[in-house]
Amino acid sequence: MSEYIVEMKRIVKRFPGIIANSGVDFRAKPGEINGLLGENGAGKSTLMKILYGIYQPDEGEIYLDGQRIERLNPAKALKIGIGFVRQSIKLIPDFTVAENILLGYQPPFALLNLKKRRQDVEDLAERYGLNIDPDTKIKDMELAGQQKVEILKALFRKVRILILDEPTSSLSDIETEKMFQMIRKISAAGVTIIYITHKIEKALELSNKITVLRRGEVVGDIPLSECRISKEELVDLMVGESIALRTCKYTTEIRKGEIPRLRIENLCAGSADWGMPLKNISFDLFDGEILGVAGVSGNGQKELAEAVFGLRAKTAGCLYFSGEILARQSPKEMIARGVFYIPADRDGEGLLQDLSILFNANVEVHSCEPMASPGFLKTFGIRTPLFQNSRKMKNYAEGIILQNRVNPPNPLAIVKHLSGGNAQKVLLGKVLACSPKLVIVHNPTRGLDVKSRAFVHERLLELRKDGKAIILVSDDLDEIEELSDRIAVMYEGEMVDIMPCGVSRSLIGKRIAGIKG
Amino acid sequence: MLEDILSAGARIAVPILFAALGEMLIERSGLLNLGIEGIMEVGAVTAFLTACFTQSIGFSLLFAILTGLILGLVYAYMVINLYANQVLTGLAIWVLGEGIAAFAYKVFLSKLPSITIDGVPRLPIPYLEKLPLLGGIFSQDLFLYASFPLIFILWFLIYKTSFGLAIRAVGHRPTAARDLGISPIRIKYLCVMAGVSMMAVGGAYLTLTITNAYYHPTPYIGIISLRGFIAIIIVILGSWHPVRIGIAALFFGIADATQMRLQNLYPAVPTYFYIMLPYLAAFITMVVLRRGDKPLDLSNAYVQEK
Repeated sequence: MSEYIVEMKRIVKRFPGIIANSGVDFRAKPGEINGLLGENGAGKSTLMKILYGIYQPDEGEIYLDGQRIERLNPAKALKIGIGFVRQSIKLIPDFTVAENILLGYQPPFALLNLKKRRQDVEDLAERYGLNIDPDTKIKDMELAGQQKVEILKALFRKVRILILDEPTSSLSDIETEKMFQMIRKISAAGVTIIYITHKIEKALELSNKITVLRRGEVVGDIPLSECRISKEELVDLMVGESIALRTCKYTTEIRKGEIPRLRIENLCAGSADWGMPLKNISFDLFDGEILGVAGVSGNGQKELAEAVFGLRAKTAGCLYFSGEILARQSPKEMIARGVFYIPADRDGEGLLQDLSILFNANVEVHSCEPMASPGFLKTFGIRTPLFQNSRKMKNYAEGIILQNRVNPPNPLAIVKHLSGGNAQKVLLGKVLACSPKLVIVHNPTRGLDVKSRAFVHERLLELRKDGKAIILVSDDLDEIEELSDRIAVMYEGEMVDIMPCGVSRSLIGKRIAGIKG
Repeated sequence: MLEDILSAGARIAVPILFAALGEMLIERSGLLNLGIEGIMEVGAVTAFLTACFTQSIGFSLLFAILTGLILGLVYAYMVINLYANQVLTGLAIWVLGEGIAAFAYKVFLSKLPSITIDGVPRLPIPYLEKLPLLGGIFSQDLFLYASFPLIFILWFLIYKTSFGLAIRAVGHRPTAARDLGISPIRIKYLCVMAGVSMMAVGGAYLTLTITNAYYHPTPYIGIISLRGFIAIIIVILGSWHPVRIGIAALFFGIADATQMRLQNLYPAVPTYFYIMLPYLAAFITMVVLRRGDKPLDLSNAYVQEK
């Protein structure tokens, strides 16, 4: 009998153009909480997808209880007691909690027997202190609840090893704390937990052992019970080079008499059945300024960003751009004026997933000189740019890749194969290359590792230094405090206050909760 | 008169119902099969030819299902393994099926012992056939009776068994199902095979019991005369639910039977107006009714990670 419940030896996994794992060794002792730490694209998820049989390793061996396991697939993995809660929720939205948990649990022609089974589900939820109604449909649940269902689904199958891939990435602090309590409870029940994260504090708080991955290799395997390690040391391990954690503060400049880049007066937009309606929003935004927009997600921040960009029709109010009233407001018009929007939903709204970096970089500019030209038609007096110049487009994309250190540095790489950080670099880079006057960014660093996050912040600060105006909408209060010159707080579609930077956290917290006094 | 319309409506409904139930099963697994018309046509001609040569209803059905399965597997391979566009593949299967049917009929026409067949005998159910109003429905053939248990079996399969849950999951989110050890590819294949069998039986019903003959008037529209496409509407009308599909098919059959009788009653109105009526009724109900259990991942290609 082996000391380890799981042993992965010299795992190698290659993808076109990328080596995700190059000879990774990973082992876990029974009943422990194992932190798997690394930046985006370090190969954490790939390693665990191999352990769960979603990917086949190109080389390497997997042992469970000392026994070699070959040709693993998800069905087999579940059968031998490995459960995997993926980062993106893999539940059927139209099914109830009970149906989702039962899916694939019984042999094909077994009767569902929903009544009895839903009782089992309820009992199990109770045992782990979860308040879940088995008859609720997933699409009617909050994200935190859906995550609990995912974990419950694994527990229902009596897994011995539970892999959690960034389970707290979209949870609030209170929900994260609850999730940690639950994970400890599960661990206490004898389940080995592998916890994938890029957040150092979280890994330190929860784990018995931390394995650090960098660029597909293990750079540290640290049993926390035996030795102590500081946060800084872990950052160094993860990133490979020291990056100073930035603590910058800016003083507000008083800018009376200057024409604001953007002035919004009594803006109202939207209706209740499509997001949060905006009520009477007014503010000025000057060049060289970052306006942070804070608030609990869903209080109209996204709607505000979309209304300014012209994606959402306003019902009342005026917008002035450089003192000029915006009569017609469409994204096309706004882009022509130099206003760009970087949406929070990178995959869905920001980038074209199935196309290459080359195409994504050229989306806004492909029909302008010099990416396109009238070519020989010019001799006939035709000025419409009809012909694409593919070499210019490629150079343009390569420029963006170089400036933003996108990995892989290949303009033909398909965007959906990039890690989150690299995808965000492409998105940010293509906007910056258009020399914008006003940029609206929404959650620009969500799900990004320390290094990419620092990079994004650096680019935003550069932009500010160049005298551009930035609206930074973010759920991450640290980010807002770090970068903003002024902090606006949204609550139920209203802008409750605009404060200078440097005000106390507790005051911001009060405003976020909707308390005006 | 009313009893007459009911029983005629039920007979008209049967082939559409079989096809619609088959299509429902296929769509539940996330595939959109627009080739029903072609599969039914092939089923119809195979059943007719086999019945001509062997006089056996059993063999006719068996061969109809086999030829339907061949077309269905071509479709399944194209869309599941080659990720072909499902709409285009379906339409191609339709035209292919029409071509095969017309060709097969031409080839065998000279060798046929007769151009009509005896067809499936009627088996009135004792006592039930004497019921007022519904009596007509209970003095029909075995196919028609079989459609009632078929509806029930499909309902039970989809809503009460673990396999049904897996089918629904694959139609909604195949990657999620795959993570739980379900093979979406296998389920899609099984659903296509079961579905096209039902479609082929629907086509066979037409030649074996309604027309007792085969004809193929135009290159693209044969004896099925677009019933396959009506089946697609019936699936939506019945919001992917077997029982509601049964009701929708019967409703369409009754509307069709009614318009035929109206043609005789008021011959002054052009025939085409009457022929339009059931489609109009289906169209209006389709707009009015709720969408129901539509599979979320319908007609998207499922690509398995390697």
